[in-house]
Amino acid sequence: MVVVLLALSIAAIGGLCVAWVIRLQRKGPPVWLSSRLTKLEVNPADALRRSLTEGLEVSASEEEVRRGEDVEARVTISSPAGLGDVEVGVVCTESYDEDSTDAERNTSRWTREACAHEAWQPLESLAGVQSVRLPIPLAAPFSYEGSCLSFRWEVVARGVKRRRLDAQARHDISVLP
Amino acid sequence: MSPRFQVQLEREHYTPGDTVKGTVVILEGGGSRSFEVSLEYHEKTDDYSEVASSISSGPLRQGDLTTGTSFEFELPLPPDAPPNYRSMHGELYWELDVKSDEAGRDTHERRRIEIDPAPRSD
Repeated sequence: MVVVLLALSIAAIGGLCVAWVIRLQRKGPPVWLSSRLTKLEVNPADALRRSLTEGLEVSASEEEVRRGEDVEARVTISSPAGLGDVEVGVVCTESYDEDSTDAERNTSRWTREACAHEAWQPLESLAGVQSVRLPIPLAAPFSYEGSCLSFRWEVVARGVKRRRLDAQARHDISVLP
Repeated sequence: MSPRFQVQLEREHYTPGDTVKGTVVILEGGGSRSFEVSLEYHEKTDDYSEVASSISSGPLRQGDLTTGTSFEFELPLPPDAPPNYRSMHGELYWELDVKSDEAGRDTHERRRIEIDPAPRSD
């Protein structure tokens, strides 16, 4: 009886953990957690992804690229097993400061993040190195680090998995105006 | 009484490294301690605004402003001046700020200017 109860408890906890991870992946963290994590500059889904990213690396042939030009992404897959469908893309993340008001009507300054641009291309899920040229649109933001508004560019390789957290490898690039 | 002024720019579009040239005409004179023109690069979100960099003419005049007088100015843009950009959650832009420093509230005349990306060298 005790063993059955223990097994059921472990299964329930495991189920909750899986549901939590799926929620993080699909919707991002809830507001109460997001605001705390923004201060720490940690995204829980990204932290989990990093631990799942063994066997997937990405780099760029140019560290600086201008808008309207291409960047060459080099993706190295050392162990394709379990990576899922692999794709590579360029992602620009906009960080912006705004006021947030809590239940007691206290207002404080938070840094939010939003995707300003992303474009993906599929890759073969095979071991080895693959190169892809990815365009940076002329109308996209340029890299900028400000006090209340910033734009960060990355080349990202990801293994898209169904009902599990994606594996992700990231590499910063600088996009000039 | 606060002075009133009008900004006349040689042109509206610039590229990095250009010099912004113009004239400020005093339409209505008034008390002023100091009068200057500056170029500012602004970051703006829905709730916050910051001046990321500023290029000042220095005082064009110290003392009261007289109706009908005018002041020419030249402000060089940095060679790596970033262009204007508007995104979903914010904006980056250049603005010319003509300021009369007064005993009470200062008088400003602001005008946005367009900075286009630097031409490609290749």
